Amino acid sequence: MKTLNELNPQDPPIESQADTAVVISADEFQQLSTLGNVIIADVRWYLDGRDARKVYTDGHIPGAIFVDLEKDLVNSDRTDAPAGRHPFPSPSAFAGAMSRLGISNTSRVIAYDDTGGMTAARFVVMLRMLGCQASLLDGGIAAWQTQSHESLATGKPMSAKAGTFTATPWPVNQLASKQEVEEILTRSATSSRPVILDARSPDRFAGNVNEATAKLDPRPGHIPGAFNAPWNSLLDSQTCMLKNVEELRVHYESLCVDVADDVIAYCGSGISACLNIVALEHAGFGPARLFVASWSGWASDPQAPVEVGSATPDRDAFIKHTSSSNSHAVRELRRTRQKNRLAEVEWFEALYRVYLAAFIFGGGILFLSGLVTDEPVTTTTAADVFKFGPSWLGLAGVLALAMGLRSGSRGGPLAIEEADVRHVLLAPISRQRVLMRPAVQRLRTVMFSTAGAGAVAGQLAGRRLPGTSMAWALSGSVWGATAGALFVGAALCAHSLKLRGWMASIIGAALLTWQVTASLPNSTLTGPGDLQGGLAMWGQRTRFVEIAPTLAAALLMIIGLALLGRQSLESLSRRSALVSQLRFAVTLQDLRTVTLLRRQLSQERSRSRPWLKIRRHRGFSTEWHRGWQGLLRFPVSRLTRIVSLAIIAGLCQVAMYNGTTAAIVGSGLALFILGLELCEPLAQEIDQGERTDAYPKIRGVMYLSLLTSTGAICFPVVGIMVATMGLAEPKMWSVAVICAVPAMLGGLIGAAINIVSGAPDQISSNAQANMMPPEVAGTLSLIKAIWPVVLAVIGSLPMLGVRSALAHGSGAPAAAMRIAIAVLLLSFIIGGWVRFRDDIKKSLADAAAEGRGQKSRTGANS
Amino acid sequence: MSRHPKPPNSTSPSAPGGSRTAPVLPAALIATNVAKDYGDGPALYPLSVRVEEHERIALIGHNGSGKTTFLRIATGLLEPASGGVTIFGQEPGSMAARSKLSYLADTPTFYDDLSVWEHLEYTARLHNMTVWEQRAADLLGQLGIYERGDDLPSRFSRGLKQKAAIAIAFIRPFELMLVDEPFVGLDADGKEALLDLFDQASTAGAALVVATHELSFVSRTARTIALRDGALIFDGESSQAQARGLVAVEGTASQD
Repeated sequence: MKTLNELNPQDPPIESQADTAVVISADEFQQLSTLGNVIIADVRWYLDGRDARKVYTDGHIPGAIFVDLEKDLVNSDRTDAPAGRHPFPSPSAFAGAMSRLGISNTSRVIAYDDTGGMTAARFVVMLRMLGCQASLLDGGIAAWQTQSHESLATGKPMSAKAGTFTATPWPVNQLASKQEVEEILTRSATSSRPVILDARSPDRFAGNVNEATAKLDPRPGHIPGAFNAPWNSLLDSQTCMLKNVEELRVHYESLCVDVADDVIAYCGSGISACLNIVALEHAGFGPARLFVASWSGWASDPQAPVEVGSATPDRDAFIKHTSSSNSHAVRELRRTRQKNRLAEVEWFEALYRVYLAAFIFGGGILFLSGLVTDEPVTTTTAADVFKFGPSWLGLAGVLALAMGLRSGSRGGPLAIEEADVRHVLLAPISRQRVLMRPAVQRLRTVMFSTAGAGAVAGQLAGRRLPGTSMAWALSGSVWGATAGALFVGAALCAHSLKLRGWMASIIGAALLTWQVTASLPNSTLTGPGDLQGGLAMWGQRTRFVEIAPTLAAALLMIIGLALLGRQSLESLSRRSALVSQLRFAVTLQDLRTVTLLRRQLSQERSRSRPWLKIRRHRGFSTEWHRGWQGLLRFPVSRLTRIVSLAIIAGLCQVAMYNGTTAAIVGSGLALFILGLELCEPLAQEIDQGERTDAYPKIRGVMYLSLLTSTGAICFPVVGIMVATMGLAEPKMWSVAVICAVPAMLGGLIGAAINIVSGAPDQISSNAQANMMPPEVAGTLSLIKAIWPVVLAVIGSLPMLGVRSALAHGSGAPAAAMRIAIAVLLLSFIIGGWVRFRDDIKKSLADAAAEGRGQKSRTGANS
Repeated sequence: MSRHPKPPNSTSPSAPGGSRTAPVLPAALIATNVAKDYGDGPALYPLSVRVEEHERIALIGHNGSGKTTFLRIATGLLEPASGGVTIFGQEPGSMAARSKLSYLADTPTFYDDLSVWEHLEYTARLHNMTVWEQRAADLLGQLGIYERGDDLPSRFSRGLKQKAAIAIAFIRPFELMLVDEPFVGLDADGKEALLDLFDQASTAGAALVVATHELSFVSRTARTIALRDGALIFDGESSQAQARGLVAVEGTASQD
């Protein structure tokens, strides 16, 4: 009830209403009544039609005023049946009545009757709703007589000095309308547990029709789901005083009030229900709402649902029902949304995508496995595999664990929709229950893909190692699935336990270092991931102790799921928006958006203050200057990544030099990603395409000029690559530079192409794309996604040239140089494409339009 | 900000570039039966409007009435389904049109890796301005964000972003400025500063078309154009538009 002051802030502040007891004993009454400003109100009234005013005249507590329930506390207009028999008066009518009775907003009112509070409570509730100090005299007039031994006063009410009572609207939050009650009944997604209390007699509640009930109730029965809480059951039948607080608590707990978050009280016409409200407050429960229209209003509507028969509230069922109906609502919601989503899916397109993916991945795997010679390895090699394999393969498990910790510390691994965060997670429903499904889904997806990857790897290995391919594939999939479960479990736990980012990094780095050390050839150390790596060896030998990591992953997963309720809402909502965009971007093969979103996910931002402030030099272009301004804002994490990628690329080159041809893919990919990082100024320009189009400059020229700063920053990166190559393989110094430069160039042109083709056409028109058959459009989009990577890989070709030259005994640097020059020429072509892309597209479009025009002309002629 | 020139204490206007070129062309903007359809019904019915040089126009209408569509077509960001627009006799989006037209979009966008000051520098230089520092400092000072000049605008709050976008739109020379809901998110001082900037631009001879519901701007214009559901419903004196209750009605309905 304290919210009242907030509701009507314009009202004069009402003091100490909160600490005015709602019920006072006759003892306390004696002390209070001597104070000034206290008004004693006689609110006697009789259902059977006895004249209350006459009863008052015959005898009342000395000094009491007479409050006529029918006139002062009820709207004089009672023609509106749905409003019930005793609706609230209008605020102004009530204020008028109070002023006339000599009651002001600041008066201290003590109301009594002779029933124990059935009618006086209505007055108390009304006044307290408006923030006035009002109490019920416990036991009423009889208790006063017993306590004071005084005789009653007689005579008509004296005309009181008028009070000043401000008209205040009835606070809606303390009342329940018929509509609200209906909503509670029909609401399928119950977000609260309401209790509806009916203060009428058990007979009327059950709908047992007899002469007395038929006169009072338009229809027999009660509001469905309501509990019977007869007003007189609150009273001691001898003294008519309220039962003690303990008893009242027990009484209301049996009615589930303590586990409800909304209590609505009603009765026949909104009178006796008030005693429930008073008693609830007296017993220390939260505020209950009054449904004034009550049964007289409810049952006047022939459509309103009615329930008959007595009902004993089942506490356990109540708790269970409400919580299960909550999660039922969540399930229902999910089902509906899934149905809607499925309705939106273009089935043909979806099938086409599946077909395309299956074709490409299936074909790719077949092709790759064909590259591996099926010749079985020698026994010594096989022995080496079994000796060193577990610790090397265990790296995957340790890496998964470390990545999981990192992801969890940053708010991963769950990604739920923003709408779910807003509507479901903010609702009073168990979060653990809601998050269970996305968590299990996440686990399923991750484990499925890691198991698949493990199976493919196992199958490939099985072709060369002793043992059947099937066994190798199986053990590989168990190994992969364990790593996947470790990732998800660690992430869930790290998130719920609020592991800090730096702690995750330290733990992860320590574990990785340990495992790497353990996997070094001459190491006697046992790594933490050895057992997990050993799982992959089950294709040949079985060690049951190696099941331990799988069990540990399961345990981690169980803890993670148990702690789901502690997931941070902040992280969930931050990720929700990003991840849905990310998924969308991935399906569109939109690498730039993926990069941007990943940066946002890991909260990687440009530095506010650049590493170095640069001055503009004459003769250099605006774009060159701008490029450096951006590059000098790279955060530490991005710089670290750039250096790491350069080192990885260098190591791949070393591997190629030493005979691993496939490392060309690693080198190409690393440099492609590196290129994407370094082309940031260009990418920024393309992100803000509208700005670009507004500058009075030719787009292609701007794009090329923006690449100048990128080109310059490549030099130190190439330096890192060369140093890595030279340090790892001293024999390579002579060819390192000749191979590193074209490799970097390849990565750069691949990235540039990828970024530039992400730019929308100058005026977006998707009419062209719409006209293509899906086979063509799909294949084109795939080619568009792949060929930048192919270009990046081509850049690394010189090292293969070196190797074949070495194999044939001819000059390695010369061979590398020849290919390097070819790569250089290629990059010129790409540069030209970037510069003239718009013009080329325009002339192509013009030619096509002309062609169509001719076609339609010939069509018209014939 | 030590390197940058200081803003003057008085907000004396330094001329926006609009006064540099001698006006020779007939009209700032001519739209002839320009229409647009996004595929779910017409967004803009054939609309013909002529904006003279130095003219100042308030463009009003509910959300979805076609204001933004019209402005984006005029800027060259959208292609009309039919009809055409010329900017000083040039095709929208052409080099000549781009150098004369400044567009302030309804949602501010920025490069992630440039500060406000660097945005101003970049934009100014791309428009071939050689002296721009003082004007940039004046603009930031007027808008009350001089102190934030070295910060990245992509991390600003909505109101600050709007102020930065305003500065960027005004730094470059222009003879016609198309503005989409520029007052959204601005505080009282920001609104006042923007109104001053509009006045300065008008004084310097630039034409202005501002889609807004801001009464204080509409009352400072001579001409108002009102759109409703993609169709022109009023084109005439602003005082008349106000008298007919258009500004209040078309305005308040979309103040959501």
